[in-house]
Amino acid sequence: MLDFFLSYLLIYSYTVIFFVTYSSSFILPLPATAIIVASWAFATQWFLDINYVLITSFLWCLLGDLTGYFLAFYYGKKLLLKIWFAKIMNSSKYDIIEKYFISNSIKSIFLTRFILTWISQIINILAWITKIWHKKFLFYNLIWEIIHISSFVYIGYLLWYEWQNAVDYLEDILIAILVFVMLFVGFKLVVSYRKSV
Amino acid sequence: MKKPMIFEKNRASFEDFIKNNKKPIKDPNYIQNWMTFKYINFVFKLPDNYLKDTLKIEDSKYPNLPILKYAKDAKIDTNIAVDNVKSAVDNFMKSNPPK
Repeated sequence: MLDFFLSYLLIYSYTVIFFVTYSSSFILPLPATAIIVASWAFATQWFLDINYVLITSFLWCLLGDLTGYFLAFYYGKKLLLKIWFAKIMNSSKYDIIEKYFISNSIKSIFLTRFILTWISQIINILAWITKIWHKKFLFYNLIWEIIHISSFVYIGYLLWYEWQNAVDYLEDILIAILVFVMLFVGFKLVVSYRKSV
Repeated sequence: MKKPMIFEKNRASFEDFIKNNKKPIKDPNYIQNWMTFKYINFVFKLPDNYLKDTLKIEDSKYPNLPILKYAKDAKIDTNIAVDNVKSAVDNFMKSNPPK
């Protein structure tokens, strides 16, 4: 899938940056990290314009997050209750997840903006359902997106034309991190559940 | 449309910074199947129609054509298509060594 997006990035440049970063922040699990690193590698090679890459990657990531958050704000709970989550949301296990997210909200926002971008949509929904204060969400979201984009800008510049080898490793590393985080969160939830029982 | 001055200044200083810190790409092994001919021409500073003439590409989308699409249309294996592009670039670099 990445090859497909890279080809289109070279043909349609900023439109693809917009589509991938916005959609991945908002609803679709697309390879946004790889596309941002690649865009910056292309910008340092002069193939893309540095200013447009900076504006499109940052702005659309941020707007995607906000769209996801506000859609969750208006429709999230109704939708979740209507489909298959009603049972989960009315169970005692859900309270544990909610408490865990509230006490780790900043870490969760950070992780999903910076590393686990493909599950950021879930955090947008959780942020509203668990009543994370708007300003808190918006503030930390902005901070983490700035860190996210700037670090991948630097990686894209640093790697120059070796970025594509790094992207292959990056995907493996991100999957390993995702598995580790899921196991860790699962373990913590089991411990909290046992304590509450 | 004229770009705002701050953008031009930003770009100029960035270009100077890159020129002083990065070397141009010379290794044809950098070429991958997803790359377009436009990008390959740009990176290796090839004349616009060099690859088109050398590889006898007839697709009207050239140079905005990925190697993958070229291989599919020409009904050749993608790896062979990539190797053909690499050797064409290599030949050009040997006959026109970068200054």
